[in-house]
Amino acid sequence: MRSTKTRVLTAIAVAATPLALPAAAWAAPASTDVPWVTYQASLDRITANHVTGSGKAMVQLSGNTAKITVTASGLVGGASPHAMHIHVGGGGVCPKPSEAKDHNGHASINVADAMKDYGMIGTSLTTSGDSTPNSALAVTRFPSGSTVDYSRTLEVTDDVAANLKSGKAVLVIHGIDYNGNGKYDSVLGASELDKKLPAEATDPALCGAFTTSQMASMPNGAADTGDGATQAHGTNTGMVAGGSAAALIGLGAGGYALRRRSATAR
Amino acid sequence: MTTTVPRAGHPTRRTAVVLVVLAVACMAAGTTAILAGTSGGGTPPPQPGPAAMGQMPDHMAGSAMPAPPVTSSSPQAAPSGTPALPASRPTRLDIPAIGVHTDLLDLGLNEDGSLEVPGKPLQAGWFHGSPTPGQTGPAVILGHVDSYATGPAVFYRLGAMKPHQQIRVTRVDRTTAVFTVDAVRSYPKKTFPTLDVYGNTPDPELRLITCSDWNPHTHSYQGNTIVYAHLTT
Repeated sequence: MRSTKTRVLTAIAVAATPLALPAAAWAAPASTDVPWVTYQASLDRITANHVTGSGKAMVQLSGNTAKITVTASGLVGGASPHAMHIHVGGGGVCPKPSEAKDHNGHASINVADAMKDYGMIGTSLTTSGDSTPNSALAVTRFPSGSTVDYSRTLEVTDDVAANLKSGKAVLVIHGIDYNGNGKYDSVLGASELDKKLPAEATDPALCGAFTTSQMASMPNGAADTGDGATQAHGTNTGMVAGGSAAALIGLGAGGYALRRRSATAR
Repeated sequence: MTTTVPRAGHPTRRTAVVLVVLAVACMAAGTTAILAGTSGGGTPPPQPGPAAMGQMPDHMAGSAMPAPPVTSSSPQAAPSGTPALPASRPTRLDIPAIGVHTDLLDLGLNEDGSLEVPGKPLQAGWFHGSPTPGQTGPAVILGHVDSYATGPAVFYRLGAMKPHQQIRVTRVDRTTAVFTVDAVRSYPKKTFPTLDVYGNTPDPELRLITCSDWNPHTHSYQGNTIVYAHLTT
């Protein structure tokens, strides 16, 4: 049996707790002894492949643990899977339109054409399970559809971590619609990576080289910079000049809001 | 507020003491009275309107949030590429257009990786994980929109800012970095565009951040208002 005083204190604590727990846009990286460094990439379209989308990617790296987020839009829609990888060991750049070659009678850029630019696959950004190069074309474990909203924490190899640090890591999202018919087909022939897949399914769509963030530490999303004191009550208290008066009125409003909060507390 | 308040479940006398200390601290902050003259404590803060939103800098053309239809036909001046300043901690923020004149606190990250918010509602703070204002990159300054202790807080009127208005940041090295507003945006916290706000920029830029989008049912702000600005002198 709790006393009234205990219940009141509980209500106050419950009401106050949201102030101390800012909302997180995603799960924060667990704290470790190795500081987190952030790398970011702006994903640009491979214009030679008739791509219209765009996107962004971010890797927060601590040791070999990588918290990866990728957002993109304007990709081939429907159920079309989009393989995504961190490429390493190349020039740390994306292919230029002038590198397009003839594929089945059409000027386009396939994965092999751009290998010297962005290198080999270092990490497969699968949605679950294995993320090594073995899963490079695990089409059932990649995002699908016109938009990508990907977030996963993975262990990356020493090589991938080193390439991120040296500016040689490149994010590539694959899967294009060269002839604009809304699906992957064989307009560009078969994929050079897997003859069972059409080239459209594996050709690069969006590409961006990772650069080190200008932020020494990357905040976890939004900020909790208000508690609703000017929202939680309907009366206009007529804020006046003079700090003490303002503070007293504020305390009154705060007390009211706390009561309101406790009435609806979770 | 960043002060740690014990969670519910084990209420102790300390809970009450902490809350009292909070209240006293806030009252002390209130005595600086920078808000004298702002409109009433029961009025919701202004929100950015479509006509006031401006255009994002060119380098953010691929932003997740497209710009709203632009009603003005005058093209926005591109960021001027003003040379960057050396690093120097910011000490003071002045925004004449909305009556903000405040010393700056030094802010870090909370344990969950979110931004620490100013412990004093009437002062804004610079996030020390971001570039110093005037350096290349997105310098981040945040402030409360309101607080129980003060009613309106330092960034109460941030949502009323408009493109072309000036923001002055004084630094320890006694230089003043002057920024010009490019755009004002509000985002739901759930889909906060981290790389639009905190992503790399080719020139010195500034982000002013506060809360917006009050939800009366959850009694919380569900969005953030961001002022985007670039260095002009």
